[in-house]
Amino acid sequence: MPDIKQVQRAKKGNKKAFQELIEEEKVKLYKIAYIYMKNEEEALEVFQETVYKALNSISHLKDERYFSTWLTRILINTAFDQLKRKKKVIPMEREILESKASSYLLSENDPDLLQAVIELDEKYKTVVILRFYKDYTVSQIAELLNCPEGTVKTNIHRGINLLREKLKEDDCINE
Amino acid sequence: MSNQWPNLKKGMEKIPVPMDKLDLIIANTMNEKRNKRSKKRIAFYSLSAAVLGFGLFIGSATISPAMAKVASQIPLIGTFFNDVGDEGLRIAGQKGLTQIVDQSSKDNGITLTMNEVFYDGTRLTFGYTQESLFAIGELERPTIEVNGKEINFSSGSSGAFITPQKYKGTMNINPTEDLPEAFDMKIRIDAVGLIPGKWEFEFPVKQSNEVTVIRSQEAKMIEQAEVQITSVKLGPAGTDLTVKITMDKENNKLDPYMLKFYMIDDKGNVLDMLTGSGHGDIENGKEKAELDFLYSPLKEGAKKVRIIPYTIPLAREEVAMLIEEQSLPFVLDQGDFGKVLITDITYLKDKVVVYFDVQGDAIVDNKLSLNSIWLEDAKGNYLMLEDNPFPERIEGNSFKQEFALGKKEGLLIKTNKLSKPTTYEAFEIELP
Repeated sequence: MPDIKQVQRAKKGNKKAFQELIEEEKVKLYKIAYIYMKNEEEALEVFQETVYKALNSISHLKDERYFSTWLTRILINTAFDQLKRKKKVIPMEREILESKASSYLLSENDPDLLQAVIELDEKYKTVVILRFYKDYTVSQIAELLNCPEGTVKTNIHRGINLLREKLKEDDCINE
Repeated sequence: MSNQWPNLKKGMEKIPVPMDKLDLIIANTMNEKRNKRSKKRIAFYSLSAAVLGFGLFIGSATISPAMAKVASQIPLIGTFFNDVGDEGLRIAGQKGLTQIVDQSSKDNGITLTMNEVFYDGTRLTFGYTQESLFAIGELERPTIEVNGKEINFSSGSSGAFITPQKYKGTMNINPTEDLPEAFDMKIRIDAVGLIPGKWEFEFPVKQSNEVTVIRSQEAKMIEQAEVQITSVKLGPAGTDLTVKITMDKENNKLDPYMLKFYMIDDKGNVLDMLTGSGHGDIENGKEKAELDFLYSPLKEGAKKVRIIPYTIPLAREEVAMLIEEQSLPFVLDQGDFGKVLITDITYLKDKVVVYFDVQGDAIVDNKLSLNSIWLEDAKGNYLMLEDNPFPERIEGNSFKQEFALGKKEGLLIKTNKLSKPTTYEAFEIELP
């Protein structure tokens, strides 16, 4: 939970305060970006864009308590935009790059929970990360994603089921 | 399974974190603000027509070997921009307004060729190709010197592989200051994708034709911020709009970088936004932002243009409907933004054509860039038609859009729910 006074200072244009806040969040932000983008280069791009947008709009943050949620929302929207763009522009290029830049990818043969989360459809991935990595409540997630709590609950439930199926499949393969 | 849940955090630990790079990004971002050197573009709307159309046609070449053959036979010199999706560039290419550079530079097994450049005062765009044994990613942001002096700029690029070894790209450069009518340009590129190296080009650039520049001093107060249209530049390849925003840094009613503008001519044609960027700083307690947008060219005969400022929140929620469960016509809800009435869906031999009406009071451009619709098959494949990714406005707010053929069973039609844009009083600019 970020220090509210520090967020207030950052809102007033204190860059050091802003920088310290970002320092606290950077690892989680990057990891979430990685889950979406699946490679270091693009995760860094999303991170950079997020920090830039946040710096430019921190003065408009309405409630200091929600700094972290606000930042996460910027990151997720940025990642979605990036993905949509990639999807529409050159889908092949990313596949080729990913196959070449193997050092930037997790092992594809590692049938673990993380890999299963990475492979989830974006809408399930988002709620699963927010609920089980960021520990947000259903109502916080609903507010962040601007959608009804019922939808969040359903998507968490479906996400869990999909993960369960995926992990079961992998177990079978290993056997 | 359930006892693995606490392990999601543990699982996330496996993701390697490049701490040095994160720290560098944070430090650079802070410095940019401080030094008023916004090297980082603020990519508002990179989902531009240029990126889409161009990327997609060429993109298809990487998928099918037959197409790759066709694409590789397209002569690039002198006709580089003729087939790109960006209407303005295409017009410039077809009118012969581009300059041929045709310089190559090789390093680390990658050959970069600067094929053509277009500069007319509204936009500066390079067309380049890169060749290498393996497919490599995009160019790093270059260092650019104009008459021996490094310039600051924002940039956006797009492109795709025309053969597995050859990438055709365009890069739009938005300098933060006006450039002279003619100058010597030096471009240095330090990396292509993940491969470092040194590629250099030096060539003269000349403004290709007269561009009409309309300077305006008109300012309006929007959410207690002074918004001034500083110039509108009309060229055959595009319409450039620059805006200056000055406001108290305490003002939390408006984020100046989130302010966007519709441009509509006196016949009601909405121009398509191609790119947008912005930079700024805080001086003496005032936040000063300068925004620059490039739109499609104005249609001939336009006498007036209305520039309508608007904002729209980023949040959006994807919605999907299973087509087989619907009976025509049916409504696709886009939340506060409006609705899309799907009037007909025709399944042809090689494509699916969706006819629809956009309903509601929100202004929509020809590409429906805010409120697009798309089809996905049961496997989650995005069924965009690669050589024709945009909707076509039939009349008024009636559109049709073609999609790739997908398995009918489980076919989803999708869109986003989004807020309605908040619009403000329009600027009216008389055209000479």
